[in-house]
This record gives sequence, C-alpha cells and structure tokens, in this order.
Amino acid sequence: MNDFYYVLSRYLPMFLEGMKTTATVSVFGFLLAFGIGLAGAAARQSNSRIAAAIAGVYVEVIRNTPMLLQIFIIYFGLPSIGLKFSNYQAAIIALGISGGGYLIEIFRSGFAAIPRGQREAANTLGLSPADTYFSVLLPQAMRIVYPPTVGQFLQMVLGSSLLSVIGLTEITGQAQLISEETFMSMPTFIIALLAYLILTNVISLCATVAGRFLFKPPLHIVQGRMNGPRIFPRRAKG
Amino acid sequence: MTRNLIDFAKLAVAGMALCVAVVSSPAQSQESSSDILKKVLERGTVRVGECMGLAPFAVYNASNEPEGYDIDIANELGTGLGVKVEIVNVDPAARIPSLETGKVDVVFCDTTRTLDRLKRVSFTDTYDVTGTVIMSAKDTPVNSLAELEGKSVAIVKGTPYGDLVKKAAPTAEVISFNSPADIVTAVKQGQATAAIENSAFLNYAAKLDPSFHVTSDSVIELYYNSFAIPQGQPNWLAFLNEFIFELNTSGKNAALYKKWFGVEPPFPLNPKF
Amino acid sequence: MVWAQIWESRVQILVGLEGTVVISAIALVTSTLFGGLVGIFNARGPRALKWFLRIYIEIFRGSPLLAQLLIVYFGSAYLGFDGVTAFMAVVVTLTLYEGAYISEIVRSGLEAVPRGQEEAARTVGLGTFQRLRYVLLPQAIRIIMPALVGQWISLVKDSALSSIVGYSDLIQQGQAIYARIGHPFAVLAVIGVAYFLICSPLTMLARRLDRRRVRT
Repeated sequence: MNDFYYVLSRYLPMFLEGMKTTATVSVFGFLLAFGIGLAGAAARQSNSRIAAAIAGVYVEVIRNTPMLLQIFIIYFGLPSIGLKFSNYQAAIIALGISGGGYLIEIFRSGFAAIPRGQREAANTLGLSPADTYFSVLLPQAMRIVYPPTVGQFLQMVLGSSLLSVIGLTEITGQAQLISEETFMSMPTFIIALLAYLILTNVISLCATVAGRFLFKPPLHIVQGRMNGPRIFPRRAKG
Repeated sequence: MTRNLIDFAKLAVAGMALCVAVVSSPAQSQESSSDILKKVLERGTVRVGECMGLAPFAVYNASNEPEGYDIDIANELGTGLGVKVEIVNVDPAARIPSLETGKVDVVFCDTTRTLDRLKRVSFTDTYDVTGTVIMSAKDTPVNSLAELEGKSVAIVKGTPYGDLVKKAAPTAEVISFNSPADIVTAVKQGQATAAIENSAFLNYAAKLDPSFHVTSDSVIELYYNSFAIPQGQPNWLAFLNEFIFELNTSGKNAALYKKWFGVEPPFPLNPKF
Repeated sequence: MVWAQIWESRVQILVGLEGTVVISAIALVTSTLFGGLVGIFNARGPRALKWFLRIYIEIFRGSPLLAQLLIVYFGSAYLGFDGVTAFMAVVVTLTLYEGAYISEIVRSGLEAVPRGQEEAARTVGLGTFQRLRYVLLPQAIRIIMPALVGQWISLVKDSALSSIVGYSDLIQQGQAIYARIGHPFAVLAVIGVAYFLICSPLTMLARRLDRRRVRT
C-alpha cells in the first residue's frame, strides 16, 4: 500500500501528462475516424460500384487485422514506401483509420435503419437529394448511431494504449517508464488502469447526459432491467 | 452443438480447473532461493535469457533458430555444464523480473552492472566491455551528448540511457521503444534524429548500413557487461565466473567476438589472475 | 528481391502462425467457458453475486487489454509468483478480458428469450437449473452465436498483444524478420495477410449466422 502512495505522489505529473496525450490523440483520431466513417458510408450507398467496393474492402481489411499490426505498418512500414510520420501523427492516423473502418459500418446501418417511407415522403414533397440528406436522413441517423459511435470513441481511448509500442507518452507508455524506474510494477499499472477507468466512465457519463440535451426528443439510452444495481451506464457494443 | 448443459457445466468446471492448474503450477521454475547450479545439473537444461533481436548478440535466423555472439557463448556454457541449452526470449525491460521470478537461470543480453540493479540481482565478472555511442544519420550527424539538445533520441525501454540523455541535454526528446531493432529503424527512417545504445550493437548496425554515422569514442565511461543471476547463489556465481575467466584466457571470447562483429574486441579482456 | 527473402523466412512466419493459432485457440476455449459461466450467473444468480460480477465486467471492459496484460505479466513478479511465462500471462488476461465481453453477450442472449418461455417452464415445475438447460440456453444460443463469433474474431486480433511481452506470435516473428532483412512494409503486409486469412472465415461465419438468426 505504501508503494501505491509512493508511486502516486511522485509520478502524478507523469500520469497526468499521459492522460493528456491519451485524450488528445483519441479526440483527433476520432475526428479523422468520423470523417472516414461518413465518407465511407456515403460511398457504400452510392451508385458508383467502384466507390462501394473500395469502401467495402477497406472495412474488411480493418476488421480482419489487429490494430497493433496497423500501428506498426503506419509507423514502421510506411516510411519504406515514402510516407514518414512522427509517433504522434502515426497515433492519430492509426486510431483514425481503425476507428473509421468500424464507423463506416455503424453509419451505414444507421442510415439503413431509417424507414423507407422517409425517403419516399421526401421525394414526394419535392426535396432535393441534398435537402433530403441533411434535413431528413441525417438527423434521424444521428439518433440511431449515437450510442454505438460513443462506444467506438471509448474503444479508441482504450486502443490508444497500444500506441506505447511506438514510444508515445500516453498513459500506458508512462506507466511502463515509471515501472522500470521504480520496479513497483503492480501499483504503477493499477494506477494506469484506474486512469483509464476514470476516463472511460467520465466520457460515458458526459455522453449520456449530452444525449438528453442534444436531441429532440431527448435521447435516453436504454438500460437493461434484469441486473441488480447498475453502477455505470451500459455502453452499446461497437 | 451439444445441448446437454450438465456436460457443458462439467466441461466448464474441468476446463477452469485445468486452467487454474496450468496457471498456478509453474511447470519449470523451482524455488529461486534454492541452489540453481544443482537444479540445472539435475534438470539437464540451463535456461538462458536472451534479448532476441539485439544483433549480432542474439537473433533468429531464417529457420527460426537463435544464433549470435551471446548464443555461441551460451552453447559453450552448456558444454561446460554438460547440459542442454534452452534460449528464452526476454524483453530488455523484463530482464530483472525474469530472474526474480525464476523464469530463467541466467540472463546475458549484454547487461551492464549498475549499483541500482545490484540491489535486486547479482552479476558475474565481465564478459564484454562496451562503450556507449550515439548513432545518427550521415546527413544530420550528432557527435556528443550535448548536441542532442532539442533533438529526438531513440532509446530502448529499461536501459539507463534515458536518464543520461536528460541530464546532459534537458531539452532532448526521448522516445522509448520496446526493442533495440526499433531504435535503429527509427533513426533510419528519420523518425528520431539519433539513437543511443551500447557501442557493440550500434557499431554493428552501422557496419551493415553505411548511411549511419556513429560517434567514434564512447560518450561516457565504459560499461562492463556481465551475466545477471538471481541473488543468493554463491555456487552458481562461482561457476559462471570461472567459466568467463576460462572463456577470456583461452582466447575463445575474442575469437567469438571477431566471428560475429568482424573486428577484434575494441576493449580486450585479459584477466591475469 | 524482397519476396524471395520473405519466402526464405517462411519457417519464421510459420512459427508465428502456429504461435498465434495456438494461443488464440486456447484462450478462445477458456474465455468462452469462463465468460459463459459468468454470463449465466449474471442472468440468474443471487443478487450479491451479480453485483460482484458487474464490478468485474466494468473493470475489464473499461480498461485496455494491454494494461491488464502488463499487470498480470509484470505484476505477478511484484507479488512473488514464480514462473509466469508470457504465454500464461496472455491466456489468463485474454480469458478475463474476453470473458467479460462474452459474459455480456451470453447474458443478453438469455434475457432476449421471451419471458413467456421462462414462465411456462416455471409453471410446468422445472427448477432453475433445468430451466436453463432445457429451455433458456437452447433458445438463447441461436441469438448468442453471431455476437460470440464476432468476439472470437476480436480475440484472435487481441492475441497480437502477446508479441509485446515476447511471445512468438505472427507480429513478433514479423518484427524479427524485418529486423533481419529490412523492408518492414512488405513483411508486415504479409503478416497482415496471414491474420486476414485466419479472421476472414470467422467473419463470414458470423455474417451467415447473423442472417440465419434474422430469418428465424
């Protein structure tokens, strides 16, 4: 127990620095993923067979290969064909590309879940395709995809731990350095674990609360009934 | 798919019991407090911890067999003991924990003796003397620790070079990688301006790839590298020290060094007692 | 030629393939058994147990696998456990981590079985265990399978983390190869293809199960 307080008191700045890096790359990675997700979902729906195929292949590759491998390819592999990134840049790109693959599917099924009638009604009313997309389809899709998208963001925050292998000073990387210096591996990594738990639960809570305000009617994320006291809101699986 | 839940439950319980048994009964490791030398002789195998990927100390060749300077020495040790040699891959950062938890009997890895490490493990006599050098790309050469100010330096996790750099060049950005091969790749691809590691390893990397520039002198005092073993093993320590003594005086050590590094050992070991 | 060199290193790749397949297969079995039990207890067990299990699930789903693996691998040394190899640490961690996700899949599968089934079973006089065995699980399995296979795919991908603690899986071997011959992009691409070949059949299986479920 003493070890625990020792590590916490002496290395708190390093942990906070790590949390900052984790949060930063996760947010930027998510923005990239979001963009890829929208573009990919649009490509899948589009009339161009080539665009749909490219998006399809992209999703398959991302979903059938480990993220660790993707990180290695982006950081260590790409330079040999001319694309060189710093570990910070590679981190954001890796998170973005990986998350994007999953978001394409999430967005696609979100759009697919909108009843056909909506599109037909919009057509009957004479709305242009752009108008239909932005005023009718998108708002309804947003409601549907909100929980899984938040889930994907959380997965990205957790996935950022893998970036320690390219030397990024995020939470797990900092914990490894501290653990080597102090040899107190258990307390150090437990603190790192707690840092992630705090991050994910705070984000989850904010997302649930935000859901009530951002949508009209307010979006209540459905909670299950069967279990005992629920400590934290259940996250939808991405 | 079986619908028999009782069988499922029995299988589940059996499976979990098996897993618990597998996990909690360390198959090979015995009490690390008892005599390792005796255990090794009884077992008929010596488990040598190696940091695979540290060329040319220990690497895997195309047929996935370990080979290298350290590996040859390990085989000599096996011959001296009259047992088989089992090479166990350890991460540089996991060298000390591997010894403390009995995963290996001895660790090579060109490990440096430091007072800090001696608090937790014991070291034999020196088997390899290296300096510490800085490697950089030829068009952006770095020649001293002070020149690292404001630049990015790649080091391996679990080595003492990070602190060294921070003291000499506080504004340097230290990037820690998991394996020695990664720091070479990082410099080669320009993702770090320099790398700092022991001279044997970096000189060898530069020999293979002339686009690297390595500082010619050691930037700090020489490191005397030895085998690491768990604490409290007087017999094992005595055996290994005698082994290293004979390795040096017979010239075998120098010959192996020349075989793998292509040059005479820059800091020859000639114990005269 | 790069490809010739990679072909020469095929033994290393096969060793990595074997490493990945072995550790994935074992962890798949242990995590499914463990997760299945936890899921069943979480759906039908006593309240106190459910509370405890929920904490376990929240911790293991709310933190990264890598951090958990490092705790098990290095922390075991700190606590004085001898001889925990990389293999053991990975299997234990994957069991706990994937088990948490699988338990949720199993639990929601059980809950998705129409209430009426359970009530009818209770009326007929079946005890809890018999209800589970003869009524709930058989029907739940059809719902569980697609998500379960999906989790298995994640497990195979997550096994890649074993390379970080030194286990000779595909990624570790890939790193060893390009440390020796260079050309990291080509080597890693080949490793990627290997993972793709392992995961693709599982993905297709998951999709087919999904379609079948929707139709029934």
